[in-house]
Amino acid sequence: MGIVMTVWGVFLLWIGASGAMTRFLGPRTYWVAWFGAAGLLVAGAFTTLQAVRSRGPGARGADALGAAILLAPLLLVAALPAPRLGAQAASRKASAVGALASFVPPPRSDGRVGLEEIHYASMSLEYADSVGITDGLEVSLVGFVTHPKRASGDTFAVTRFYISCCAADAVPYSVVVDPGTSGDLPDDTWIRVEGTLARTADGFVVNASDVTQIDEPESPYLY
Amino acid sequence: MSSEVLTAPARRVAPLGVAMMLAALAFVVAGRAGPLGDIAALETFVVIFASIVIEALPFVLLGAAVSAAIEVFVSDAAFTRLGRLPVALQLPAAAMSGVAFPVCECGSVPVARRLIARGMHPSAGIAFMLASPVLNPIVLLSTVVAYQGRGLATQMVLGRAGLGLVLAVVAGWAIGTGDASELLRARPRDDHGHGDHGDADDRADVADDHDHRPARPQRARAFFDHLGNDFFFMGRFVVLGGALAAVLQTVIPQSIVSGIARTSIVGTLALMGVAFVLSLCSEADAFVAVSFVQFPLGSQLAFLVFGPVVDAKLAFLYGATFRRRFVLRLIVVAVPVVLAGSLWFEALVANR
Repeated sequence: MGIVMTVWGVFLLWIGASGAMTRFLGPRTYWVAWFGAAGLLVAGAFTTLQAVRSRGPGARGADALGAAILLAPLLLVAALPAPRLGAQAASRKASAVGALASFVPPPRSDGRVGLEEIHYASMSLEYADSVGITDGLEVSLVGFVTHPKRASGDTFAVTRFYISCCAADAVPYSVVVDPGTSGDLPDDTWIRVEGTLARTADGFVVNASDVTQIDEPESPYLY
Repeated sequence: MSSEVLTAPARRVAPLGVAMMLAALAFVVAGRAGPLGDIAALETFVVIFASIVIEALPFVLLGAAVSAAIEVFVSDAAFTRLGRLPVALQLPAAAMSGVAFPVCECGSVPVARRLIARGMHPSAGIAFMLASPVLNPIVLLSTVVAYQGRGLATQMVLGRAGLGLVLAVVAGWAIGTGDASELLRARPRDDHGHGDHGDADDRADVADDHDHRPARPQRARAFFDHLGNDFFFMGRFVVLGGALAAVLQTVIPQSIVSGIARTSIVGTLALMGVAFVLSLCSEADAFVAVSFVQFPLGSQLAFLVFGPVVDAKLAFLYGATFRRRFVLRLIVVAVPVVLAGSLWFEALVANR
């Protein structure tokens, strides 16, 4: 029991120190992992010490099964080199219906137009007007390639997940890209898209002037 | 206990432990060397699964610590006095006390279990358990932050707190009718100091004036014993529930649900289903609810009240804590209460 707690404490410390935490949690909840690491290490140390001193009640089959269940998430994370949410997750987490007409999220204070703004502007003309998103607006977007149903022919979508607390609450923001002469790209390829917006019946599309393949950013999600 | 008795089971488990460690090592090596990382659905599952557990386990630990502190440091006399209070007073007071307990649903379950086992009326214990993940200040603050951009923070916070409180009281009143031993599932090895049986049975008689607390010098040790047992027991069910939630998120497209969003009743029932599947922490769910822009506001409220009370992760935790049919009874109570409350909210607030 103490060993399982200690292993979890070490794991939480490791994902915090190595930067792997960004794959699972948003910055708002980093403190949870640090708090968990400290608490589990302290509790694990005391519990292990007590078990050693008292020679414990003896391990049982049920204990081994419980330990295996508790350690299973760590095993899976260790077995996959760098697990992340990608095109498959976007296909499951995307919603299909447009926004209610009454919904108007607030514009960014810095006036910047990113994936989130264009995503919502495609769902609500009122919102598009309020943040100044119109035909011909020049944009530069970073995300990974997905192929949702609304991207037909040689088009694809540039997508990025927004995370509030952890990857379970991730919401994908996507904008369809007409790559022009750049051509199609496989799912999960990280790209930077430069181009201008054009309004269509299905929302805004980026007519790309340049599509560049890039390395995955250090923080793969938007927060 | 003799050393032979202590070491025999350990001897039996040792080869199993070694085999499990070798299998785990082989799995990790094979995964890193092989094509596991190229299976997109597996990647999605692992990220969601691990993120749920990473976020939930520290709260399970906190809940286990509070539970252990209640067990070790609070006298039986205090619980005896509490148990003698009228249920009509205990129930709403317990629900309201959730405001002062900043722990999400994973932490409130072990605390409620311990409170009921120590003598709090089961209906009051259930009310506390269901109210604290909705009413606690961190959850209400996150709801403010999520909805302030839409100018609906006040309405959503009041709606969430009000409906959450009503649900907790109604569910506590409807489900917690029996005594502790009828409600709680007995747990092996729970009480080292009180024999090898579950504490639901040996603590149900709250009229017993004998103080069960360990002697003062042994309290630190007893605290960590209880802390470890609760964490070890609850933690595994959080892992199993997190795995189920991750499988559902990996397999089921959310667009299936959002396609039926337009009407209030169907939309509300659909979002309750989504809340069950997603199994989000109540401190994070408002940020997801606000993204369901295609659903009426009342349906979003239902998501925020139903999710912290019934979800896939909690179903495992409840199943391990309470006796059979608890989850079913809770769903039977929660669905109509949340549906009626959210429709009323929709009529009162959203259409103004």
